[in-house]
Amino acid sequence: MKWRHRIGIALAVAWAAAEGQAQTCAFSIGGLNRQRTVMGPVHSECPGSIHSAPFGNWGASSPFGSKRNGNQFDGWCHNNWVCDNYGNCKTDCKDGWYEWNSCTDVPQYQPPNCSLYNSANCGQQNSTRDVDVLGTYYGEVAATCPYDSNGDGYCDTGGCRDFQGIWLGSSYMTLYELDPICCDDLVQSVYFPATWIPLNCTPRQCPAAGSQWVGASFYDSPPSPPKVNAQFAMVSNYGVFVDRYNICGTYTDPKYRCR
Amino acid sequence: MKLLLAAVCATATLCAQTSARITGQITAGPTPVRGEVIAVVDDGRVRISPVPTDPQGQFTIDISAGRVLLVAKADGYVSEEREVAVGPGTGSPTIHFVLAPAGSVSGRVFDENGAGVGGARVWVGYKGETRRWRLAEEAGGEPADNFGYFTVPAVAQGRPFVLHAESEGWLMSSSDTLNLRGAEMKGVVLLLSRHGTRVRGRVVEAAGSPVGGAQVRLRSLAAQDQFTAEQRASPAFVRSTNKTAISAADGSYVFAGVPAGQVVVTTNIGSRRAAGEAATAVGHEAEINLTLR
Repeated sequence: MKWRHRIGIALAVAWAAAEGQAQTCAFSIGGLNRQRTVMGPVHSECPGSIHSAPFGNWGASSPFGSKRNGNQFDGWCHNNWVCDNYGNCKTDCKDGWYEWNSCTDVPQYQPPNCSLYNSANCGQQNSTRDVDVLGTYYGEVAATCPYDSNGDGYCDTGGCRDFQGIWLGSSYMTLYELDPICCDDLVQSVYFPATWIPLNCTPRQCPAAGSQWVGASFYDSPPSPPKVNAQFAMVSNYGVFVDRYNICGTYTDPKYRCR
Repeated sequence: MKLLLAAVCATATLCAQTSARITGQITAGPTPVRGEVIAVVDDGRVRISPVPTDPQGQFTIDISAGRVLLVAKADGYVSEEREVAVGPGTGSPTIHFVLAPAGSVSGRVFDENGAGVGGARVWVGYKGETRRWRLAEEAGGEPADNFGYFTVPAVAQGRPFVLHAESEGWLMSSSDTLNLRGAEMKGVVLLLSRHGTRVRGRVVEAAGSPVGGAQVRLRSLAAQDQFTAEQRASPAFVRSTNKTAISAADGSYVFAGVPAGQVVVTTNIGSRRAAGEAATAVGHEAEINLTLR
């Protein structure tokens, strides 16, 4: 029976390795933004189309996911009483989102106007919400089996402890005013410098950790003037050691029999 | 435009000791798709570098020798991944990613009594595919609403998939094979019916006094027959076999929805630790008391 057992284990190990399912540390990594501001000319939700000028909900494409109606780049208008420059007043932004004045370059909606702009002398817009989530990754990276290096019975090396941090080379948000029928309007792309999450993992898990917040480094589509501003950060929601077929448990060296 | 970012990435991140160049293209069928490739390198740090494509979907990534996981993505499509090993003699690999258009899948999770399971999480798994790096919008995992209604926003059209549902107190259950033909699939019904077993116990000081507020971690070594290979490949399996609870004021804790097999339960407060393990079987509650030392 023993050789059969060993063959079974060997097959499981080989299969798991071939399938990319050998031992891993599984992370949930999110992209965040905060301190959102809109200050430049935006021409997305304007009169003369099917749009309901001037407020619109925005989404963001990023390395963390696609643009969507999902609180990715919240604005400030939310069931607000609004009067435009022609004296038309109504309660606007009633569809549940936190919207932006998305038509800032036509006379009817231009600054200064304190019900169309909520800050900086009624000429700039600031989000009234805090941190928004751009999207999330579920990622797994190969890890060694946890083991006990000092003989106290507890794992202290290997596993998720193989990783000191998560580094993102650069990031961006390409912002769109979202339209349910057709078609989303590009506002601008905002780029951010590299960010780094230092991890303090045990072999079995990593507690939540985040990078520093960074400001925009440059813009694109168009490259100027800046129309929006925000800070970006990355967060590791968790890390957990995964051994789907308990392969580490088959190691005969006692140092791997740790809790 | 975005190509500027590729240059920044290529010089500053992956490529301090460039030894190989990976080129390729993203298409949807024969049509080029503008998107980006996320390069993930693991060298003790998890290094993530987004590299945008040009308008023709073409990309270039310079990396040092080793393995790199490439994830191709574009708005409106479901991402694909490929692991590439490069080094002396491997030349310059060319990778062609063909992305499937995305559609949404929605439905409701019920329990065996016909009640919606609020907060249940539904995950997507494709037949015969193992992924290491997925976007949440594609993987699923968002909690269902209070009535059990769920939506997965980005599921690949034309590729057979299964849905795995899990929730606190139940073992993971999976759908039959489904296939999304079009932009939307509604009305999928998922049933949670396997309760698994429970593990309970108390956290106490060496002198016997209860310890409230301790974080108790459960790790399950599930028996082979508890989950299929497809279920084990899912992030739902990771959640189902790794659970956390906080001990109550009297030191008690409980985990529900634990699979049969073996469990290891640990806790620590500062440098004081405790651990215990037990076999688990459906219908038999296991008790593990933890004494901090």
